[in-house]
Amino acid sequence: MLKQAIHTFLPELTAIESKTHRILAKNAGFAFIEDNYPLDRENRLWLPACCLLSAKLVKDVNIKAVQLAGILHLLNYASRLHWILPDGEGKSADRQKTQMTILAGDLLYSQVYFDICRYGLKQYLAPLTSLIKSIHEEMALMDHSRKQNRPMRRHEIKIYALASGSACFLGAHAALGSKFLTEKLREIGYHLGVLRGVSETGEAMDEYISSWKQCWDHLRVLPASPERDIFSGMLLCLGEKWGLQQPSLLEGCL
Amino acid sequence: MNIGQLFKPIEKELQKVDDYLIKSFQDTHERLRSGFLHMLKAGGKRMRPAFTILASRYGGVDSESIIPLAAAFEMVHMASLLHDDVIDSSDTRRGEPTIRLLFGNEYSLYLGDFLFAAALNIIDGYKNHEINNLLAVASMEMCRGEIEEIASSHCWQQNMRNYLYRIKRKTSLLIAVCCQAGALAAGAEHQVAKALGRYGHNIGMAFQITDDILDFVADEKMLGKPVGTDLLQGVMTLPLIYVFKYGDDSTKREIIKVLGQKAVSREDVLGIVRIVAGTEAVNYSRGIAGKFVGKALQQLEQLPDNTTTDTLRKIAHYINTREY
Repeated sequence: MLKQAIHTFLPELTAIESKTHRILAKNAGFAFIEDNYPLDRENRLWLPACCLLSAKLVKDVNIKAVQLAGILHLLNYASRLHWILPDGEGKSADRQKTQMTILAGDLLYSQVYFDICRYGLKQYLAPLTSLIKSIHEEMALMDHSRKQNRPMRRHEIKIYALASGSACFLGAHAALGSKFLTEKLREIGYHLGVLRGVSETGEAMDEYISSWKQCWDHLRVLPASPERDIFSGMLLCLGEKWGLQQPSLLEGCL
Repeated sequence: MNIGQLFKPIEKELQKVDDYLIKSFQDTHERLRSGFLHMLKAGGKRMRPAFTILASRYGGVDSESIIPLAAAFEMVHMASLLHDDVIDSSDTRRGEPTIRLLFGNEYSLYLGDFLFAAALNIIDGYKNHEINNLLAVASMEMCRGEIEEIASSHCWQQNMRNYLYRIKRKTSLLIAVCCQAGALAAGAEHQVAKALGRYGHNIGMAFQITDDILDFVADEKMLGKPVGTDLLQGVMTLPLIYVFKYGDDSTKREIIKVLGQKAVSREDVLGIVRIVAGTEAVNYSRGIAGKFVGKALQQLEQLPDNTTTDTLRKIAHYINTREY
């Protein structure tokens, strides 16, 4: 699904990935993290790709957009490490695994803050910390639902939606997009995130069909560009799974 | 004498910090709020907010405007405790069951991350680059210190230099930031803020060394957690480093034998606690802590002689003699 986006921003994304790996290797033994928690590349690059794609769609990928994409990569990695926390109560090897996972996640969160300050991106501190807060509020609620044997997928889907919406918004904002475009991209990111969340969790699509429609509605008002086509491609790729096709313009009117 | 009595001059402000903390969780989901309130009610010394408030008195602003900053630093500290409890599998803190015991490891972790982000959100409101930069560096170093502690656990060949570097990252950096940032936020002169930062660093070092001593000699009820916790985790602290450097070979062999076992019992740990407490290690460690207190007092000489400086001086003297 991200093939086209990854191909478009290959140099930027490769640099972003290697920076995160360097931080982990230097401080927490990246090999350990890699061996124990292999995340597929698409999962890791989803947020940075959304950020860069939005920046390019609005104007161009500037240094600010690349820095924000890097920060989103760290943030995504950190939250995933804490998300997949192993139960380290048993063997001592498991315990050390738990300890290193927590600390590697903490380190990456600290690096997020450090990079925001170092790059002079303090104007983005508030939206990024709000995102981290929302992600962990949902995680705590998801954990509670799991323990109560209640459905927890909606929390996971919300995390995807919030994170993707923020990534698109930040990219567009960094590229000095108009308020209209920036907000549109946030909406597109949000709904795209919902759909990706539904796809990842295996949740039934029926309840989320409005996100499919809204995402197309927002995409249509964007100026035609190769980046818009990439967004459309991502959507179509997701829709394939549920047998959905691009809704016609008249669909909502009939 | 306890730390609460020393904080008497800022008692009202510290109450406002607690009120602010409670208020800042008002709009949060009940699930997160309940864990946070449990932690808040368990108490704590509120050292970080106290240092922030005291340092702000060297500037020219109303203490009211410093309350959010002081609360944010307490949040950062609480976040680190929540994660520490998961890392150490601790069941009690401040005499109360830990959040991880009540709500689970995952919850403790998520609440910690939430608190860290909430703290940064508050600090962002001050629009002060220096404060952000100070905390950004400190939080990175704190993580590195924690990683180093885990990586070097059960490694008995550590020296004092490793230890001091580790506790600087683990404890003293944040206290130094609280002191310096409190002064900066209040518009104090940079020289004054830096002197306060150095005071905070030395106090933090003395505080952590004393904490490590108490792990061998404290009364468990007063301490609020079992003694020998560091030993059980295989963490080398100053008293143990002393024993390994100056103790006799049979004592060293005995300690390595016991702590090297696959399953170390509570009795085993208490046995070693008794051995270490019976050596000169405690006096030696108190001496080192005393040196840091002396350095902290030296920094105060650069500050105006007023009631706040007097309070900071009393705190420095107290740190090395505290029993919990």
